[in-house]
Amino acid sequence: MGTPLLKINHISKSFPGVKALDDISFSVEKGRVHAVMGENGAGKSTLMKCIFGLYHPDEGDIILYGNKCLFSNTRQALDNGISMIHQELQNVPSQNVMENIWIGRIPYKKVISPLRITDEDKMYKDTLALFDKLNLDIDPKKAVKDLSVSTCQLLEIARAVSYNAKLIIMDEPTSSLTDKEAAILFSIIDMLIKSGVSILYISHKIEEVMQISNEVTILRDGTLVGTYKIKDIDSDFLIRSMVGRELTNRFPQRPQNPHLGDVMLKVSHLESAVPGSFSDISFDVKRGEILGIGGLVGAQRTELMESVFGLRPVKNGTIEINGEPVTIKSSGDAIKKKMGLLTEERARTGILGKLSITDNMLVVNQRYNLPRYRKNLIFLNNTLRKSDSREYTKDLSVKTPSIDTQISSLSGGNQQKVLLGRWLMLNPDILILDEPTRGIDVGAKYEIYLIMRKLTSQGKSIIMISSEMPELMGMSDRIMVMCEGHLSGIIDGKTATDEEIMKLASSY
Amino acid sequence: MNKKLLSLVLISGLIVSGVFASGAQESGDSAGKKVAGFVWYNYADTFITSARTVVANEAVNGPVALLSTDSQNDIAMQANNINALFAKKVDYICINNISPNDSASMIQKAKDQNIPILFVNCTSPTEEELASYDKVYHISSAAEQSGWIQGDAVSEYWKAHSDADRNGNGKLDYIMLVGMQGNYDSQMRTDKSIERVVDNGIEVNCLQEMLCDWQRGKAMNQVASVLAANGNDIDAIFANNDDMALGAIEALKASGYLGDGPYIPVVGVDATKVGVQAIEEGTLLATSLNNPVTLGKTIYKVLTLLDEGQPITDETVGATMTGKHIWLDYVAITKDNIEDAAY
Amino acid sequence: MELTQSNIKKILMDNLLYVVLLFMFVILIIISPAFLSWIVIRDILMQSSTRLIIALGCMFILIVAGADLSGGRVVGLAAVIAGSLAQSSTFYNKFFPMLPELPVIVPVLIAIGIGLLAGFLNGIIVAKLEVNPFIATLGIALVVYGFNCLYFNLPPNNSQPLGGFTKGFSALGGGATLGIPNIIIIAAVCTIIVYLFQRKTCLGKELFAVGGSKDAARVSGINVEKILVLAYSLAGALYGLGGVLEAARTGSATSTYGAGYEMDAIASCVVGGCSLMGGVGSVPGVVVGVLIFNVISYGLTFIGISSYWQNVFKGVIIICAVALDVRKNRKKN
Repeated sequence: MGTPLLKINHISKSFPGVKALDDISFSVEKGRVHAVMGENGAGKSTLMKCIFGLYHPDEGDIILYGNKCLFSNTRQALDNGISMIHQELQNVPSQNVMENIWIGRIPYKKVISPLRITDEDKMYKDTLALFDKLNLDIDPKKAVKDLSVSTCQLLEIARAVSYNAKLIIMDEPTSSLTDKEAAILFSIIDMLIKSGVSILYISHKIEEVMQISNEVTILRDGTLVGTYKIKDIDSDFLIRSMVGRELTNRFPQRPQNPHLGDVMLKVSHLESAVPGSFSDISFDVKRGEILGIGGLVGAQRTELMESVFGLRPVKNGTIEINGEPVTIKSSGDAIKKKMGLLTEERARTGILGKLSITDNMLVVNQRYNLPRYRKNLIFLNNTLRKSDSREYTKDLSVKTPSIDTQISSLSGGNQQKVLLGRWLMLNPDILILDEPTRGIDVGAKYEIYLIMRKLTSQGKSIIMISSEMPELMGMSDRIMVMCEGHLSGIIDGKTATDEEIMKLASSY
Repeated sequence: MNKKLLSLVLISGLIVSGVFASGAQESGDSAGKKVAGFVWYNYADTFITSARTVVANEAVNGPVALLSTDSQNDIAMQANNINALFAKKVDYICINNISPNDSASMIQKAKDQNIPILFVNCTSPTEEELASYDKVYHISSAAEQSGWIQGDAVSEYWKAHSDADRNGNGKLDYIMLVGMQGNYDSQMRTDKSIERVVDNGIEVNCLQEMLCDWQRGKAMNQVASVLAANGNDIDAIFANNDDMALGAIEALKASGYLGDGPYIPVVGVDATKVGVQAIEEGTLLATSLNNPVTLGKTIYKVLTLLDEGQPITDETVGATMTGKHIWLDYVAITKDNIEDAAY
Repeated sequence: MELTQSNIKKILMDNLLYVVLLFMFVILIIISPAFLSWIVIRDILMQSSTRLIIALGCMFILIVAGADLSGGRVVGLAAVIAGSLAQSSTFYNKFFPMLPELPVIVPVLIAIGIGLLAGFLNGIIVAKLEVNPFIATLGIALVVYGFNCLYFNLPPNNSQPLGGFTKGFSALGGGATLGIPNIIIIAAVCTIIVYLFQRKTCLGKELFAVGGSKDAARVSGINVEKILVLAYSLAGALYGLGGVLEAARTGSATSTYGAGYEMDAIASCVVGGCSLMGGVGSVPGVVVGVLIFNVISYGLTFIGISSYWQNVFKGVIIICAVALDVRKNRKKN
């Protein structure tokens, strides 16, 4: 094979109090997709930032085409043929597509030196050529703020390619893509490796890695577990290596004789007050049942469930709980009817970032279960609040130094467990979980699945929106599939197949 | 829907109150009368408000109607107001000028429209500027007089009381409460009061000069601190206005001065009602009255004379004139002539 | 815990505000030993009292990620209204000549009520009409100031500074109980009430939740609009009380009272650790923030430094405090 394109040589990096990377070595060959996997906090992002010049490693070398190099800023990395697609979108929303692609290197025409004006024509032509090469259909003159999140993600990929890089680092590139768009990405990757470019591919998604990569390097707690050829390993091996223990199954066993009770929640002919959102949706959930909701991005699943929860206005339709018609006009109404909602966007609508674990957990219960927490007419009983918080932190095995720790300093999985605790405290009858395991590592995912099973065994009803097919099929009793605001079908979870769900999800 | 209704209610409420507020802007029945445009430096100023009220009352039965604007102590706002009045083609313009540097251009504009221009209660344009146009007048009190009155009152107290030199150093140790940096009145009162004390043959020592923004609360805080630091050295407190003087008096009282305690003379300017009451109680030594009634009446008198085409002289106006300056005197107010403060 | 070098540094950083306050005191005492006296401490506490009450109001606003530019003008309106109703019957230039002498509590409650109303309007405009808080409160500041000038200029007062307050009213600002000035007692009681409200009640906790993330709070069943209106109203009531005490303390009131106090209050809160992004703020922090500014202005006058320098010092302190805070928080995460 000759000299590897990139060689990582005994890299270590410490932050105050943590050793983020400890003696990591591996190499990336030319024209290959090299995946890097590990649980959250394993050190993947830190390593990528070291390669891309955002961090300086404390020890070790990065060797590119046989030359030692340490970039002190991203500009140098870009100039040396390394580009990166970040996990968070880096777009300038107010500018148009082509300005975003060529940001920092917009072509100019000289009028009179040093006066220069942007060369719009050249920029437009270059952008079209680039999109043509990548098979993308985006209008270069459209404002980025008018694009969907997934299109923005494709734009990031196009920009990374536009640097003519020899090595492209992709940090969770499919996290906000639908399966269809992910397929576009994979064909781009295919085209890139054929032209000799190498890809460093970070992902949580095991199927994806097995499908597209050639080698995989696994990190755990900042140390190297090993580098393997994909053809030599299977997905169970991957999970075992990442978690560091045996996980016999990715999903807990289904109960032998699921005992489904009466109908708990019945939604009939619900229509959103927002034009173009959803209409005529009818479904029900029984006691002890998990109803999965599948569909592509834009299927209006989140909008539907937030409307049921009173966060969005409804024009028509009825909701019955335990056979009684109910009016839900605000989240407070829903909570009073013993419903809970774990939202999709944890950072924006879930955590109260500046508050402690205790304050985050108690925020619902201290109001809707006020008599319990009242010390006297005016004051709350802080001792009880803390002991409740401690109990749930322990039960849900949240990894944290203390219950007074600020929630934003926890990892995604632990934040999610705290938020779950927030709703469990309320002892809800109906729990709506919107993408409950997004951005969470394998170990924490399994724990959340276990909690869901425990709840249904207690006769609670769960509605789970998920974009991960295995999760939908592995957990749901029934799967309701939506497409562009319509209900396309409800199928049995045990017998459902990928193809069946995909067909329903694109039926309109 | 609710939101729209709420906005509507709020907006209509504001408009209604706005109509009442703007009703105060125009005074006098303007039908057929000539109009005088006024640019006041700040409606929030007590003295200006008094003078403005007098002018407005005079206009009710007088021959000239008014159009008043508020510069809110902002030079840019003043310029806008002046331009608006010229654009409206008023027949007279009266400017309570904030910025002496601009008077030349204002005179030029008046000259272009051939209307009389009056500078009221502010720094005079230069003699050269006054000479550049025949219909320009300056009506104001002589700011230095208010300083002189303060200086004289303190000098008199110093000479009449052998214990006035509280630390016995032979010098009059004073603190000065300044209203506003760069303000003409503030500057004149600060300088001329002390100049007069020195002219009266008394050696002075400035303990501290403090900026209190014309405010009672600020003066109170700062004087409390100076009293705690070197209360035994202070022989007198000069304040650019009565509000600050009264703030100093509150601080003195709180620290056990005045009343049964040691006396420290405090002097102010303006003769506000509360200031005059303090003189009556014996806590404020002296203040001076720049009578807003006299100012207001004189302004309107000049407008009337111009309207009737009569000459502007000492006799017709009823005030001291030098060239195009019409001088209004400050009146010293002490315990002996409290009744003069009523207007 | 061992007192290693890094531990000491950490303790200093965690209690930076107290360290700064103590440091300023020590410096002032070294320059002028007379600074260490009961009179000085009493003066500083008295001067801090009204500012503290106003800053506590401002803190509520900052916690819910709002902004309030109307604070100073509401203080001014409350001062004038309280003053106009608290004049003794013997004063010759009464605002309402026919008004009998009222019990102290009447002008106090009316002024607080007016403050509350102004705050309530701010809250409604921000929460229900969804106007940006800067603009909403700027508008209300102008409206309040305008009405204050109109009221102050009513005949027979014609914009004369108000005076001649009843003994009872003046005693709020100038009197003492058991040797402690009443104004300090009032401020201390307010501080304790606000502290308990914030730490121990459900509404207090929900203020932080709304400030931390309005969307997350809404999902959690909190009535976000109600909480916003509550925060602005409480702030307004505290401004009202601040105005009452400012009038009682100085023995007078004019329509210019309170000008610029909102900026001082915001500065004190920010130095005291409140975040302009919302969700953060503690009562002890705000207390120390207010004290720092008052020690500066009192102390510099005390040692005879020109008042022009006070603004320079204050400006530098604001920037340093926030810059240090940013660093402290960055390390934590």
